[in-house]
Amino acid sequence: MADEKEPKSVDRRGFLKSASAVSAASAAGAIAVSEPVAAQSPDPAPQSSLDKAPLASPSESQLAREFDPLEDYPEEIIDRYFVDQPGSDYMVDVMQAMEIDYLAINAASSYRGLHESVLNYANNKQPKILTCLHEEQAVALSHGYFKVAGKPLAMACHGTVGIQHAAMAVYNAWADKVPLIIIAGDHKDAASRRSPVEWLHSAQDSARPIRDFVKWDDTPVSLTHFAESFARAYRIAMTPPMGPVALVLDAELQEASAAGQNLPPLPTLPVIHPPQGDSGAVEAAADLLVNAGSPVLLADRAIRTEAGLAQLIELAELLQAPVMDRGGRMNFPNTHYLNHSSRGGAAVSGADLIFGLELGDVWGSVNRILDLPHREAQARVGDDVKVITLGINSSFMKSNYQDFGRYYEPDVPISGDVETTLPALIEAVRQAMSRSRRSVIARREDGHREAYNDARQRDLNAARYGWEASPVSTARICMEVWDKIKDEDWGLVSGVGFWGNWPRRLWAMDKTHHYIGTSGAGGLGYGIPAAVGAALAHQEQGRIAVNLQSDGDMLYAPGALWTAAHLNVPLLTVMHNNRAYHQEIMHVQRVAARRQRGVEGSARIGNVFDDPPVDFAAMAKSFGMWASGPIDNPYDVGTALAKAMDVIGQGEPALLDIVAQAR
Amino acid sequence: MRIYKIFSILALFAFAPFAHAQSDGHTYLQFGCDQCHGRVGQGSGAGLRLAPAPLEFEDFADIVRRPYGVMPAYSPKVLSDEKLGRIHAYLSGIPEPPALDAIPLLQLD
Repeated sequence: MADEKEPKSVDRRGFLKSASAVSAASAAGAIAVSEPVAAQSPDPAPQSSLDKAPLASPSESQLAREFDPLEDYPEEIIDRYFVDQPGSDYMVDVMQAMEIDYLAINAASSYRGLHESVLNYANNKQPKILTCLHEEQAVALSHGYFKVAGKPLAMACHGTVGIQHAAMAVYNAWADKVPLIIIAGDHKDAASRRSPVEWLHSAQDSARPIRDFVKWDDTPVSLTHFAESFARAYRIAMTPPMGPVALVLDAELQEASAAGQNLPPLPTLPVIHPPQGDSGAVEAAADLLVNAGSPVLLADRAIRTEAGLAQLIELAELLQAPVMDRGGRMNFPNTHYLNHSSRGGAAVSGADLIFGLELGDVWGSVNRILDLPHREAQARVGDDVKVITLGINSSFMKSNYQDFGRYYEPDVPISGDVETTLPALIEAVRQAMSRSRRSVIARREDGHREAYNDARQRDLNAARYGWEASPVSTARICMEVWDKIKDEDWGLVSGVGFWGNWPRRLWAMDKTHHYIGTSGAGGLGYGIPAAVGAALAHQEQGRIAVNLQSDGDMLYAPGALWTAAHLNVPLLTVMHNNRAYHQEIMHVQRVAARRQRGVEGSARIGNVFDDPPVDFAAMAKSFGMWASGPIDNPYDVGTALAKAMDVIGQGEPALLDIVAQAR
Repeated sequence: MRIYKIFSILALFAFAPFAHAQSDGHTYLQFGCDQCHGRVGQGSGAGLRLAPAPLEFEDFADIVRRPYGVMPAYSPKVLSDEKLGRIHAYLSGIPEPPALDAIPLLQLD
């Protein structure tokens, strides 16, 4: 199989294909075969090491041997042995029309036709193969890539064993509202399955295991059907609420010749216009917001662009309303005095109006259930608080998996995309705001600045506790990292909930690419592959990626380290090596305490993996990545990070294993 | 009940000197206190800061026995007064961290 790092032979085949396509087009006439990719497609990642090898032109004799008429083969023999213009070439044309730059794969024979077309018809340029060592990693890589690049990837796998491997990561993407296009190979015609393996790798309904958490799926039975379904899948995936989609590809449809078929023109890239909130609801919301005494904005998966970020800042300043960024995305700069995320519940409890922007759990934002035997509910806000919601994610849900939260009826629910609706809402707020009201609202500013500064000082002071401890405190690690990246163009590509949220509290985050949220559904195995995908997207923009990596998550998907090393992405991975599923320790400890029993320390059994300790640096090195550690002295972290940054500066990944505290 | 409470408090004080002699943090770790409160009681997003200078023993014990919020309640049956004394002794022995202005990495503003 051709390899991403050895494009020489691939490019030669692509060169040959250029000549082939010309002759094939003149011979076939009506077939809608596109121009060779190498001639028409912009290189999506020109700085990648994958494109550095020079082209080797074929000799005259090679050309003659490969493209002259097959004089030694009678027509019926040619038909037996060879296929011209395979269906999967047309599939690649469609993928190019949808501007799919990458195909993340774990190799599987049920889509070998498509795989070969990507390599030898598309010249491994668009899409370009991203080799992953597990289907779950391929999905998570696509997940992370989208959240930085804003473009969906396609991933391919077996429709049977591959889909089942991929399922957990698909659920994460579904819960995180991230679009990706899953291509699952299958052998639909039972009469043509040639071996037990093909029987084992076939299903009546390949997408069934993931149907509960994809927006849409289809099984095209013709190339025309494929083209329409791919464009439809793209539109569905990319229209908010975004989410994964799946197409099942019959192996025969990929591998059989399309010659003579009257294929339709290639579909054009769908233009997505996200839905805007109802104008009446927007005006009602503006009226409540303007007249509220202490409004608070809660934003979760709301903002995806710099323009959207600027709009939310404008709204918050207009209303002098503090913002609680719930961290599904980077919704509000933590350098802005209206970012009150660090104040926690105190910022919400005094509110008389809550404005939720794409909140995943509205009920849970204004209430909570304590983890006590009777699970008593408590209100986080007063009885008379008004609640407005703006969002589209809750408008599309499925029944089985309960990712939608408890039912809650807001005073003003606005069904619409946040970024698409904000301009109208800002204008409505301006219209509703009298001069006297503007004056009243403006007087809030000093108090908000003081509360922000107080919270900031509390955070800084809190960071010093445990500063010299071993295992190293999460605050110390995060600030050592910050010291090394603060002058770079960087993006944090991991969640930080188990890191005390220190980066979101103390790093200066004022761009959407500075933080991309978490896995979505809390399924482990997301962290390192998603970081690799995000790092690839950051690399395209000349940025470095920082991955604060949980050890438990890493052990689900260590093969992604190989993909990082293979792709040569500037990804700094810092291990949170606490040698335990520490949250689970407390779950068991809590239950034992509730039942008033248990042997001292027993909650660690089944939750701790410190005997023997995992050597993450050795693991990374075995995958070809620079690594150092384990480090348990806090005064060694800075020096080790400096060395890692030297590696990152050369455009390569590096891993630092730090023995860290639980949170 | 009142007699029981008085006895409990007396018992706690009685254990305190013994606990100071065994303040290596083993009991603190075995009961998972560090999972939310940090290895040296520095606190985290999941648990309040406990050290240095923890609450007076009686107040500390009262919160452990009858906590508020998300903290699980540890009854004497599962966490004896003696062991609670060890935990308090461990926290009492944790030194003050460097001052904020003595840590260059925290000079951000």
